[in-house]
Amino acid sequence: MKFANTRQAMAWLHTWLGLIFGFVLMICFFFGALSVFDREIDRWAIPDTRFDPQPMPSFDTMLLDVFERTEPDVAEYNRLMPIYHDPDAGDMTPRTELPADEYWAYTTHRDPVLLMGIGFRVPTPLNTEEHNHIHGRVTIDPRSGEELPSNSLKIGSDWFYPLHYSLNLNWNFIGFYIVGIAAFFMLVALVSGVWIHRKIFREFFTFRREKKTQRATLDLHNMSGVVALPFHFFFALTGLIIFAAFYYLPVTNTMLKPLHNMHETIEADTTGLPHDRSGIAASMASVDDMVSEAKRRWAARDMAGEVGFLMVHHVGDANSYVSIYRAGSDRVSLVGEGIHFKASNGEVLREDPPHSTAESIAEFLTGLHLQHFEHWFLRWLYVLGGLLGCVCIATGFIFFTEKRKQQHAKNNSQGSRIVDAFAITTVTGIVIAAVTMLLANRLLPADMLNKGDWEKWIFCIALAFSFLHATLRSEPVARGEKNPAWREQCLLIAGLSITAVTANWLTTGDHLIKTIFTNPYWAVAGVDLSLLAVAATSWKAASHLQPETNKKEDSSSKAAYE
Amino acid sequence: MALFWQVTRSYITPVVAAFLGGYLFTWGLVSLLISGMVYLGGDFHNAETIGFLLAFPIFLFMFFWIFIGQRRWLPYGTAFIGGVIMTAAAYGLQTQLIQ
Repeated sequence: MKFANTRQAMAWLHTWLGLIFGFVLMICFFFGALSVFDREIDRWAIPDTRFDPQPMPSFDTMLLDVFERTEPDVAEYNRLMPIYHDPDAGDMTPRTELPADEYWAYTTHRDPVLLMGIGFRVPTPLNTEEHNHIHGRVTIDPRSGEELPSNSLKIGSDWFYPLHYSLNLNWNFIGFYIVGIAAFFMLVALVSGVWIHRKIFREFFTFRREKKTQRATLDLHNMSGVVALPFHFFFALTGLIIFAAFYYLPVTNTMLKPLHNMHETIEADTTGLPHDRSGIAASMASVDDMVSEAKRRWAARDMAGEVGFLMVHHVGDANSYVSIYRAGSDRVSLVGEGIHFKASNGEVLREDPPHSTAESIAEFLTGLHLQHFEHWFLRWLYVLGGLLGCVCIATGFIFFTEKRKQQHAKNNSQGSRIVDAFAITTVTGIVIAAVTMLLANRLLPADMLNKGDWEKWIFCIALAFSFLHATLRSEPVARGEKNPAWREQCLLIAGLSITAVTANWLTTGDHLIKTIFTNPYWAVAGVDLSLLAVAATSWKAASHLQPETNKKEDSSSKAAYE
Repeated sequence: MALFWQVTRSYITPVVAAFLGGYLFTWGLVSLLISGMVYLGGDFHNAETIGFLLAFPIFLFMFFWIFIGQRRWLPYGTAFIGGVIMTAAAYGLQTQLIQ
């Protein structure tokens, strides 16, 4: 490849890699921004959970009972049991007879409900070196211990949130890899973007909205890119770091796995936390007493707090131990100040020591990305940063087509038309899909069989509809004109958003006067207000996107009136 | 068809080569860093964390160096040959450590 200079090479990289991976990055940024309020979206989607956040409930009187009655997931058992089980050892252990090996419970300062999980061990594993766990998960109301119905989908934390890092494409983790590659090329696009736009300070203050669409769009692209440049770079980089060990650079899970395993054994010896089961059965002392002791020790270290994560290892074995971690709502770094107890007698085995400098940096970076801290203003700034990322990518798409569509029209090329259809799908289409999913959540009966699966399908169908509509309406782009689908989809978003707010009111009785004034519940009010803001913004956008002929008629009738 | 090959040769190949070369170099460097630090008595998790913190800025640098280098032997050689040598060295160190 021959470029006249480095800047030209950078411009090529920025344009084409930005375009190709921009479609994926739009999903990452938009649903990443929504994930900042994933728990609040969950509250909107599951009206039974609209109550205040709760601390970790009693293990002894409530959680243990829930753990003991929770079963392994059917789909996971069917998928993994034939892989984990040693066929020479006889028949597979039936699903409901798998013994529990680990329990965990997790909550944050924004969770009214409690997420709990169990790792069941395979009694006769093929590979004894591996983890061999089949899991079961359950969400409960911590006030009563009652399970949430399994057909309720937590739209925020179980659909929008994983969408931003895995695209919800879980076959062989393909979605993780696509997002990882896109995140890397996001870094490439940012560096090459800075390289080609050298006058970065001036572009910070330049937005000429009165200029032609192409110029104004480029100004907005540059401005939104520069304003949130550190934010964009940071999130792409930390997203890569968070998943590096598992997916993007699994050095220690593949090539250096023997070294990793050796270290785990050494670590178990030095920390006193058993690596394996002993095979000797043992009962468990009061975990509530261990929680009290952990809280006392945190308070003594001037960091009094609630339990965020609790885990029991090697359940029912003499080597069993309980790890209790502090909720990190008062700090950026994702540290749990873990305290570990011997399960059989409650003796403290270990308090996690302060981490090394490198580990502290990594905890700060991942904590800043995952934002477990309690700071609402900062959370809104995250949303703003994420949406600025969407603006930057969307204006990049528009600039790409605006710059080329006249030339493509002359050459009878379909390039701009195709790019425009994809751009519409990933700009207005993902909003339509998200809002349609929320609307479907309110309209489908609460006790409907597999309601959550239906909501997922409706999301996918809405996205496919957006693409189909954008493609079918794209003929004007081939003539160098605007695609009317932009305006039509904006109007659709406005209508859907208002309908979703109304549907929430009619199906739950939670209207905005109630959720803001008479019986404040900001999680639901916030989602409703955001939907109304989306409706207003898309209505305004649609009015700006009027066809040229309508605009001329409007201005001539206005002139005649005057 | 000729256009397809021209686009592949002129545009896609250099990007893919820069990506793969950068990745291989980063893989080699991180694995050597981890096994090397453990060999010198360092903590495994600390070494792993340092490796992952450094990995992506290095990957990014290598990508640009190879891409801008436009098939010159130095960036390509450093990335591909260097990556393989470092990976082999890391594997060798690991073998010594677990023995």
